[in-house]
Amino acid sequence: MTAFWQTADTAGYLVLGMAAIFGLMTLYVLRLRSRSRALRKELEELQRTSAQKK
Amino acid sequence: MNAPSRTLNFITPLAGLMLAVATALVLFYAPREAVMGEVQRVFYFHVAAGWVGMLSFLVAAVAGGMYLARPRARLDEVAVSSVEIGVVFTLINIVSGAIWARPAWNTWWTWDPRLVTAAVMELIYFAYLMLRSGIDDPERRARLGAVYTIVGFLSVPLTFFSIRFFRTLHPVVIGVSDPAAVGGFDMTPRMLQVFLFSLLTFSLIYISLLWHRVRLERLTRKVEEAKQQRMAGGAA
Repeated sequence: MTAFWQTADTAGYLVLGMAAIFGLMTLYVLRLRSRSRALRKELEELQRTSAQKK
Repeated sequence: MNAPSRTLNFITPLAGLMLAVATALVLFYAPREAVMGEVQRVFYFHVAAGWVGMLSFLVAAVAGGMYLARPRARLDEVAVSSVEIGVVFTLINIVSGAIWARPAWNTWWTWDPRLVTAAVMELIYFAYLMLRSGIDDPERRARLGAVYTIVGFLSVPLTFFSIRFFRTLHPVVIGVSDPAAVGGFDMTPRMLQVFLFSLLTFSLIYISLLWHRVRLERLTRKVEEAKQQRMAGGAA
């Protein structure tokens, strides 16, 4: 394998590794955000219905 | 729910900025390793993710111990939040390690002591999250969770020391590697600077994520309480 292809090969694995690291971190942050948004909405709904009953 | 504190509003963008700087340092400042080539750059975030995983499990065990000594809902919130973050970062560590192993060891996975102990540690804490979701009583869930985080923590030093105690392919970053280890390298001063900066960056990301996750846990508790109040109101 020439030096060029050897560099391209290891650089490819570097890109894959970085994509996995940033991808997983981003997925987790997005999941936290969506959970937070859903819970906030649910809490508002619960507070609204309990205020209506009173 | 209360707005995020000033400190949290400061830490979160700072962690993002530091991650961008760390990425630039990894890609453009750290020297290219002579034998493994470009793929060795994965090392900086691979080890930093592993560090955050182990730190998270340590924090969870400490919070668990404190909960058993003095039960406080806040401690349980910290423990479960920390374990969740630890599971995510250990997964990042394992996946990035597998990607690095392919060109370095010519295989994605091998039954090496370090890889096996890391996978077992991940499964132990994944089971903790599943176990918690199966217990309805909050006090029982917190007490059992506290005991679990302490007992489960035994897997952390076992994983950390596995490359020092057993014959292994996995190199030791600081210290002497096993003669059979493949993929080891001596760190140059530039490599060490980038490595330490990555560790600092990931530690700050951990603090920020933990803070956000604890706030989420508190919000979950509030929703549960509001639901119970509504049910009690409906029954009356």
